[in-house]
Amino acid sequence: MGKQIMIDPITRIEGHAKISLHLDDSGVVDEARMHVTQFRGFEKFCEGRPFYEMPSLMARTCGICPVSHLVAAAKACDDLYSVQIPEAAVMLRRMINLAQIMQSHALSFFYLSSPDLVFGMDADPAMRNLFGVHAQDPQLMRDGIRLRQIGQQIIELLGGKRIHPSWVVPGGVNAPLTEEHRDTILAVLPEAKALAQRTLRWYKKIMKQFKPEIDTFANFPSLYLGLVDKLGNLEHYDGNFRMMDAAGNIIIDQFDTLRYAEIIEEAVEPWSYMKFPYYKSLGYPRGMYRTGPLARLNIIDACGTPMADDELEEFRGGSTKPVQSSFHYHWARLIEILFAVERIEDILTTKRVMTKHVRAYATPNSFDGIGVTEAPRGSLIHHFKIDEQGLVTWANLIIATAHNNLAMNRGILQAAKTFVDGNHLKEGMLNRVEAVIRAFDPCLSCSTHAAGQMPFHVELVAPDGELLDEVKRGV
Amino acid sequence: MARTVVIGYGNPLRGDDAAGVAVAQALQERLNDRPDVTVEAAFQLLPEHAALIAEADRVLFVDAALDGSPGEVRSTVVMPVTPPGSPLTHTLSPGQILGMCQQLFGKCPHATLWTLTGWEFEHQEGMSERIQQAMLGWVEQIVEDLLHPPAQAS
Repeated sequence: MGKQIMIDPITRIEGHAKISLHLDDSGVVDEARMHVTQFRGFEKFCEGRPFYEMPSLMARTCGICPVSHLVAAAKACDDLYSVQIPEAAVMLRRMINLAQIMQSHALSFFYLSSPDLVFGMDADPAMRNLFGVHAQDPQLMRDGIRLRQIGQQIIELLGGKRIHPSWVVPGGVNAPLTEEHRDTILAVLPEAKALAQRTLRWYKKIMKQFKPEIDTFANFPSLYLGLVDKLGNLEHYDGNFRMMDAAGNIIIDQFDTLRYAEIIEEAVEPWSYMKFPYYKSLGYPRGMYRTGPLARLNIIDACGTPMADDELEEFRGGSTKPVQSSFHYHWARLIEILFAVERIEDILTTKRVMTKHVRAYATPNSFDGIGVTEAPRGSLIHHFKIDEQGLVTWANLIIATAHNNLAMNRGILQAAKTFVDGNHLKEGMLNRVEAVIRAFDPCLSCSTHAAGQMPFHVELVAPDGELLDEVKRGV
Repeated sequence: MARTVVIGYGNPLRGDDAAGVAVAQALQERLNDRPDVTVEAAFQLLPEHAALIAEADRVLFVDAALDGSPGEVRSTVVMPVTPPGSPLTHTLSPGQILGMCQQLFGKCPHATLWTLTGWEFEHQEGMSERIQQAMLGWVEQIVEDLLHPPAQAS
């Protein structure tokens, strides 16, 4: 019987999970699993609630990406109404969603992953953290803080508050944009663009030091899924599904998101509270696909904004095949920040966004409503069924992070097989396994206000219970 | 013109922990016409707050407290913690925010932490009646501190 290494909890991610590495008798990694250990139950406890509560209720799923849940649930309510919401409302919702992508990507890159990038995977954990980056590269951290601050500020100016705004409602938004807020947002965008570009330059310079990680951090063929607009360009609010295979062939295009259940199925494993979505036609687990920034940049024809398109060209390196390494989620995230700033500027410089008509009023005209949007971490699907009283009778949420569950699990196995020597553990080996998960930036709930220490303690235990080796930090 | 930032923070879903946020909301209304005062309400202290206070001359942190006797008001001068402390945490203290500000921006404002010890911190929306009563006087003390800061803070 082989040994098992537990990494519990995984640090610098949003939510709670652990990794188990299963070794064979010679100490070689044989299997790896990411166990999501928290249970939320939103699909169950929204049953019996009025449908119009769904946007604000679902936003509570998360403290990092509440806007995505707000928008997806509101779109599902629009579908229940069977209405087309005013154009200005679409623009405003699109903008708040982009602002959230901006701040969430900044949090992931600067607060959670930059310590690995600044110090390297083997650095002393006492230094390899947020405060270490402050001391080592204050410019980088100032840029990160400022980018996140700008994203949050835009959310607050539009939605009234930074976390859990209630501005997005079924049928549109509950207030039009004021000229004062428009001008305030426009004034900070040039700075945001400059900060995103400076960080991109920095990343492209330092990534050369991470070739072993680029080669082995979930670097394998898979499918890629995301939304595209009618032209096949980058889309975060509306649009239709596109799926690409590992060779770069588009196998599904302009697929109506309301028909998501025809292409996506969810599997369940007894060792995790997170489901395992897969592409139905290929079955489980062959139907593994990736979503989120890397997938979005892989599937599109173009971003549709000039600076982001220049970066996209460099990102693809002239290849027509998708970028396979999940290490480059980091790169894709930075390009999307730049895109978000450019797109917000585009929206704010049109007159139509200032239209006062921003909400459609209706009562339910359908018992089934689906809302799909692109959250920072990938495609987000909210699906509700209601009864004649408008009470929710059934809900299905396919959260962005879950789409990547199969790929994350295979990714940690790939990295563990490459880096982990089960006979002699080193902290840096295990940090690489964690860093694979960080590259995906999973949002396992984030709405908890966790207090206190997040210790890290890995034990290598022999089949007879003898402690062979251990690594501790913060214990 | 001297600039003051007030950050009232706490969790509105943990009973009296909402007191800091409630104070911030009250001050936002009362000091609406004061361009030299920025009032921020937050669930918790975040790295972005270091950037917010970097250009200020003074910062007041306002928080409900668990320790002490219920109803007890305290105001304490806060010093920057440098290095800002343990990375293995989901929380940041006022001292850590000041330390981050010092480290990242090369300066940090004079800081005071105002606390009011609460009664009930269970999972609930809405504060206890007792803390709501106690808050009336607390807000006045904070406003007085804002308008007439002690010599070392002005």
